[in-house]
Amino acid sequence: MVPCGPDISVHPGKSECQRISDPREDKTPPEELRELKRLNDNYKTMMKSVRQHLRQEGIRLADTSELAMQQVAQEEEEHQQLMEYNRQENLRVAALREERVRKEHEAEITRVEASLVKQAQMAAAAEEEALRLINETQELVKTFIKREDLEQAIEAAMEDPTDYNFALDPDGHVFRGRNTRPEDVPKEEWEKLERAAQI
Amino acid sequence: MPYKLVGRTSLHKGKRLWEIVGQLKNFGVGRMVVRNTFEQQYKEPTFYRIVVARPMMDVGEPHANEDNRKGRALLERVFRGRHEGVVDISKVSYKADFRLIHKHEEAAYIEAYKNCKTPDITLISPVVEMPPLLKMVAERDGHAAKDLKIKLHKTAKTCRLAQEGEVPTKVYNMGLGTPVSPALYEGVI
Repeated sequence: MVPCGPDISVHPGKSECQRISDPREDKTPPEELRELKRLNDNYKTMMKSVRQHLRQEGIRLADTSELAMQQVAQEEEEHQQLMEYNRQENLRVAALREERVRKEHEAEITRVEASLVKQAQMAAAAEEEALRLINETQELVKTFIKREDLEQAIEAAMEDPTDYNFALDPDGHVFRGRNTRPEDVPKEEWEKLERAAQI
Repeated sequence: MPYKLVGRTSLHKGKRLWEIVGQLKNFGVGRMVVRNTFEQQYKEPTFYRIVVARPMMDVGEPHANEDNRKGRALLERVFRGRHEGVVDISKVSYKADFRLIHKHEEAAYIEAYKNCKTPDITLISPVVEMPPLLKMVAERDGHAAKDLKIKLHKTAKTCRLAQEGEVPTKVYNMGLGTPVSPALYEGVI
């Protein structure tokens, strides 16, 4: 073990005694050293207190500090309360909804039933109409000219032409025929126009 | 030819404690011992009285300068006129800085110690005004404290924090303070 530090100067080893190193002596005047120390002490003191202050602030505002924990607990409680309120609201609204849905369902059922009835009625009416049409047509069919009677009908029609000419006077008397004049027809036989179908 | 001194220098001048103590009766209990650096540096009396000195014997190689370095040393110390009681010097006893005081010379040191007037303990005001920027920041951000607190080291002997009602002798602030030797600042703007 080779001695080091101030030891060497007292009993230096063989290789160490010839070692040249820079002089340790400080040539600064002692007043200056004293002044420097004073300034340094002042600075150090102030700096220490500033850092202590900031450290305390850091602890106070840290995430695990009391303040923060309290705030967190408060927020948690508030959250729970709100969740509870929400749950209650949901229940209440659900009850109302149930009621409404039930009513609507009943209304739907009645409506459907009514519509069914109406449909049945309409079906019945249509059926009735159809029957009526059939009956009427059947009646009409009776008036149709049959194939066998065709020639007969043509001849009858040719023999008996219809004269569509007529005249009206302001009082509503109808005078049928192309050349008929009011003087030609005796007054007792004047036809009074009462219905459009008469023409 | 003039001699040229080489090698590392040191401000220590004297013997190691164990060198002294190893040659004394009862390992020098009761004898007074003095350190050269303290004598040079401080005007106030500084000396030691050996209470217990137990060197580690037969340890280390003498030719390699390993012996006379370790041991248990409890000494009563008067440092700069202040009596500090028994102190453990074991870690410092290797320093070749010690000098044994003759018994007839001890009285002078004790006389100096008795006549020495140590300066009063400085009372430091525990509360200090904040630097201007920090003050603004503290106001703005709502810091807990309005002033800074002085943090004094635990082993302070020449100063302490002023208690309630006491007038502080020293108040720290942001300025440079008054220099002890204004001559240094002559010509400085």
